[in-house]
Amino acid sequence: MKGIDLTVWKKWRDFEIEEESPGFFLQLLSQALESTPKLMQELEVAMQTKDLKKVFFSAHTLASTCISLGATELGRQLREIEHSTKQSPPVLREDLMGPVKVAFVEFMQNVNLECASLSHKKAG
Amino acid sequence: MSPHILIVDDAADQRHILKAFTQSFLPQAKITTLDEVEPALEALGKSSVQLIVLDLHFKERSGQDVLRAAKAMLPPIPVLMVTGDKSEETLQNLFAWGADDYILKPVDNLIFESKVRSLLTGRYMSPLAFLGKRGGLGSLSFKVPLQIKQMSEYEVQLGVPYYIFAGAKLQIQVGPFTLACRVLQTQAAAVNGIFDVVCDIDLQSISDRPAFRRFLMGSVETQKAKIS
Repeated sequence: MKGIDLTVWKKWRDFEIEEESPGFFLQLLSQALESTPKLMQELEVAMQTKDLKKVFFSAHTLASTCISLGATELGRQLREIEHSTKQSPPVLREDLMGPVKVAFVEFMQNVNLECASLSHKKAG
Repeated sequence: MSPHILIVDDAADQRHILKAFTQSFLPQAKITTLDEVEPALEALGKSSVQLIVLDLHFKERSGQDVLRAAKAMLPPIPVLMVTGDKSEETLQNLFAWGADDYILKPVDNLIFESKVRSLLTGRYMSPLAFLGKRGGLGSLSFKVPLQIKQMSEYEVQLGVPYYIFAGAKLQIQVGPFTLACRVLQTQAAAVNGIFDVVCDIDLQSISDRPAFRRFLMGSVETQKAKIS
C-alpha cells in the first residue's frame, strides 16, 4: 500500500483487539474519510487566495490526521506547508501542493479500501 | 472518585484517539470531548473538571484561551497540551502560558498514560513505569542496578528500583551468563525504594544449561559456606 506506514495501521488494529474496542479502527478511518476531503479543499482554496491563516490551520489539522493514520510522507509535506506560514517572512509553499494532492488521493484510496474491507468483515 | 477529563480538539479523529487511550487506562473516568473553544470555556464554568487535554490550534480561536481560563480556576486545572509543533519557541510559549505538560502528535498511548496519571495524581510517573505494557516502549535499552534475591534454573526474583509491568523483557547478567527474562509479577509497593520483581527465564537464552546449573549450585554452596 503506497504511502502508508502499515506498522501504524497494525498498531491501531492491535489496540482495538487489546482494548476490546471493536470498530475502533474503522471509526477512525471513517472520521478521516469524512473530514479530510473538506480540509484538503479548504487548503487548496486558501493557497489560491493566499490566506496564510487558513493555510496554516488546514495544513495543521490535515497533517495530524495523516500522520496518525500512517501517511507519514504526506504528513511531513503538510507540516512543511504549515510551518512555512509561520516563518518570518511567511512563505506559501505552493510548490508542495502538486505532490500533496497526488499523495492525498492515494491516501484516500487506501483508507477507502481498508474501510470497505473492515465493513465487509464486520458484516460477515 | 472517577476523574472528569475534558478533551478539546477540533479534529474528530484526534478526539476519538485521545478518548480511547484515556478509556483504556481509566475506564471509570467521565470523559467530555469538545471540538471548539467556546463550549470548552462554558464547560469549565459549569462542571468540575480534573484535567484538560487540549489542542492548541482551532479555526476561530486559540487553545490558549482555554488554558488561560483553566489556570484562572480555583484551584487551577492541570492542562496537558497536545501539539504537532515541537519547536522550542512553541514549547516555551506553552509553559509560559501555564501549560503543565505537553505531548507530541502522533500521540503515543503509553506516554499519554504516564502524563495523564502524573497530572491527575500530582506525582511524577516516569514512562519507564509502563515498560512491558503492550510491548512497552519498543527497544528502549537502559541499565539498572539489580539485586538477585532468589534464583532457580527457571525463575529469578529481583530487587529493582522501578515498577515494571508484567510482560516486560529484561536481560540480566549473572556471572558469565546473560539471561533473557520476562517479568511475571511486580510487587505493588516498593520497600525502601525497591520493588520485588519475579521473572521467568527464557531457557533458550542459556547456551550451556549444565554449566548454568553448576554455576547456580556453586553459588548456593558459596552462600551456605558464608552462612555457616
